[in-house]
Amino acid sequence: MSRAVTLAGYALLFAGLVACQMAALLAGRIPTLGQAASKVARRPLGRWLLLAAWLWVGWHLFVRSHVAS
Amino acid sequence: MRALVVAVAAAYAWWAAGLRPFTWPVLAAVVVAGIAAVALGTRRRRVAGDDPDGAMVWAVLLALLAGWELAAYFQAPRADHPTLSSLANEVLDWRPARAVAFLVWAAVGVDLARR
Repeated sequence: MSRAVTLAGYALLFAGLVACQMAALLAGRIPTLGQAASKVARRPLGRWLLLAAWLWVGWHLFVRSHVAS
Repeated sequence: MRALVVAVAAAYAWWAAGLRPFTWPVLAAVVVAGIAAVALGTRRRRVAGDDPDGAMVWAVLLALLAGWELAAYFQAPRADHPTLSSLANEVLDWRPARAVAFLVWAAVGVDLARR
């Protein structure tokens, strides 16, 4: 798998996410990402998992990043 | 009031973006921002609405993204098989981008806490 293939894969998947969000906003037949998150957050375990995932993203990007300061 | 909160958050994000990674100050900055975001969001919880079915579409897409990321993670060299975080690091190396990303991350936290 070359860098170009890897990046193309990411681009395709993000395009899919954007297309899904647009379809949800325009057609309303599937939930938006926010509505899907709300469904997960309605259960206590889902709520805690979402918040834990969000906190992990923050730790991963800002605490253990490899950026030079 | 909202403008003041945004201004304080932006200033905090700018300050946090200047901290060195892998240090206690940046860990504290992320934890404090996390607690503040959750506290702020919890104060204004959203009323549950009647959302359409079909959340499985999102689960599949996000699972595919996670799988693609894992496939890249277990290959080498990283330059040829970048992960999302290695790609993000290239952008976050610039302090303004890092501050904006911090602010967006905090805003997502507030939104999640409201749900």
